Amino acid sequence: MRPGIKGKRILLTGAAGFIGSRLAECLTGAYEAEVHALVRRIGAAGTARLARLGGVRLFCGDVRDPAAVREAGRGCAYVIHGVTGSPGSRRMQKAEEMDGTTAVLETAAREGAERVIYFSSAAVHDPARSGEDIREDGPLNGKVLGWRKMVGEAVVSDYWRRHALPTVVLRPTCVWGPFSPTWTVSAAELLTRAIPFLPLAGKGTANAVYIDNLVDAVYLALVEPAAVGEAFLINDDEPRTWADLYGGYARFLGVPLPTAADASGGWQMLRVSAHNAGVILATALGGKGEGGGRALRQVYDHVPLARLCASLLPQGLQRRLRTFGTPGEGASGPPASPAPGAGGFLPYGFISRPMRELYGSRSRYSSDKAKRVLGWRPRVPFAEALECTCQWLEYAGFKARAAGAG
Amino acid sequence: MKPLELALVGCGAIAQAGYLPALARVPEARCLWLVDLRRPLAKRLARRWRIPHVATDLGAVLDRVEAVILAVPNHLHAPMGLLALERGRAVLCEKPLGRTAAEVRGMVAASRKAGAALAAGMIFRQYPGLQAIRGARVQDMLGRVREIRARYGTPLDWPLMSPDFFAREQAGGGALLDLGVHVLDALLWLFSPQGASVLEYEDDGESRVEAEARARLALRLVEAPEGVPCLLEVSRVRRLDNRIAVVGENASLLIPLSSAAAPSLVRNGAVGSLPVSASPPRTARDCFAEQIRAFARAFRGLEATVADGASQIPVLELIESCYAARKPLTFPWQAYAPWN
Repeated sequence: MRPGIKGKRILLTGAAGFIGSRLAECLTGAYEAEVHALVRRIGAAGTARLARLGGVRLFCGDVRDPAAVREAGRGCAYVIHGVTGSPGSRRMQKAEEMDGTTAVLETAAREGAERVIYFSSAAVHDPARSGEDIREDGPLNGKVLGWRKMVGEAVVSDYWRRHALPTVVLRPTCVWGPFSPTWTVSAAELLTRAIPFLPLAGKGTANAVYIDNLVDAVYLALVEPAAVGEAFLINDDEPRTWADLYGGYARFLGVPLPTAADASGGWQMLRVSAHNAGVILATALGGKGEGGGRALRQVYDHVPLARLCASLLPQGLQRRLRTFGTPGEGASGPPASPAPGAGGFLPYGFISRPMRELYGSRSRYSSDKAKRVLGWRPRVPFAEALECTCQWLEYAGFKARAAGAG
Repeated sequence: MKPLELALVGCGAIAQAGYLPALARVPEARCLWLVDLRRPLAKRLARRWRIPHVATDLGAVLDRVEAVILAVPNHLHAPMGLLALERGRAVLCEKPLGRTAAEVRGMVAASRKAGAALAAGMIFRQYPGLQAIRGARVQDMLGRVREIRARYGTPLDWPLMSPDFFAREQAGGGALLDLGVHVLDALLWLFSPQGASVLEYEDDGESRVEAEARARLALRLVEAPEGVPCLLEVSRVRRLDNRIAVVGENASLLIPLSSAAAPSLVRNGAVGSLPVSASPPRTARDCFAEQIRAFARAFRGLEATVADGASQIPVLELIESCYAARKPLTFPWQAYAPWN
């Protein structure tokens, strides 16, 4: 029989992130648990989401600080380690993942936690080298995000084998839905700006899971006895392709789904960068510019080389650049930057190599094990999940922005 | 004229981002003391901004200054403000002036008794666009005012140093108190209504501090004593259009809640110019400097654009009325949440 988590105390790391804050909402709202939320930054929108909730207690600290984790984890019967990690050198990321995961697992062991969930990623299996049907027992050969999570999984596995800590590893695919920074917000921003970003006309296989379906999987992983010591891929049955998902957003926003079939190659990047930088410079020299802020934003939007350089900046700075000069930051009026193809700019679909591989993959991650062992099913069907997400996009102002840009 | 000698109390985010850089460029004021319980932080900032003294106790410095700027968590505004006012020191306090109308009334009474100036850090009042609209005959521009829509929000991204910001007891409220206080103050300052009432209020705060709030108010303007409907929306998690839209029967007035943008008049879908002129745009830092200048003027008994303490009583009363009428804010995308 499954125990419930009502009234139980749960340590949640990475709580201010998109998944963490939704988990906190559901764990307190639906399952009546008490959440100790460990956040690194107090002054963030994710923390504001947490601070609304009666069942959440906020703790400020870094997962690499054992004292901070111990303090937040005091009396916790369950632990969910959901830190994504910060950008930096490979060495720094590895140290952060190892130290942070060790600190969390040490606290879990000290508190005698009944269950520890480690948030890994489906990216630990590289689709390019794992065949078309990817399962948990396939090779761990991830790149980019995947290798970092492989480091964390190794630490978790060690605690399970050597210390019998009851751990469960979840490997979600691309998590989308309201507030999803990458698979909803960024995609909607690119769509409203008509920036091509989707290769193969979006026909690549979409491995994506709706946030509330993932939350269901977390709950089951917390309470299902057979889950202990196992790893689970969590992937919805739908959408089947990226065009299904992003086409749904595009239809709702009333914009076309731009694809980036021609968006590759360094030579084209240089050519478009030189052309578009020339347009911005000519506008500025001709006295038709609308101020340094807007010119900076145009450089970010239309000079792919600059955008590539910006991708090396810390995420906070990148976020500021992405929203700089956008109506709503105080400025009203037209968008800061015309759509690609307009105003003399050449379009360029900025798409990094990992994203191109992800969007172009034909591999499918299987959730059979989660269905069999946890009894998990994607409770929210794709059509309803899309409808909810579109309602959120409207609430978040994307529909109005798309209409303004058009 | 001798500069106003003051102490800055609190070394948190607003002191570092707003007051310290502004104080360094305002000759009308001179910061002599930096006061914070975190002495090493105060010393570091004092060295950086060339402030001669640091202290950990406000009471110990009050005899050595003429005024204080309070940039401390909300629950300390009233006790520290009262301490300074009762010793005859002028006070410029970060917003909200108090967590409740009662706290503000207490500070105003102390200010009157001591004859010491009391001002609230309502930075919107330093925005050139709002200053241009203040006193303009809006009805002449727009015809009869039908509706006002005020929306202010952006995903929170602020180098907070204290979790007190999110504690109901200490903060006194969430987005409504923190952001809404600016907008409500601007509405009352711009349009000087004869009264305002809360028709409906919703927020998502459960038993804690809200991230989003929505209120329907009625503003009884001189020209519309029956009350003009006013929608107020504030958010800490999403970007809103950050402006006050005044919809009239002939045209609409769009007032950006920004120091860098000018108001505009929209007639038949076309954006036109205003019959009033605004000063050039300012940076946020300029606005803090202007606020300190205005406070120094208020200290000398001169007319100033700083928000005096009494002006905050109706603002806090409105906020209290909102909280008293609170209903939960529900979101359509929660239809499939596991609790449904």
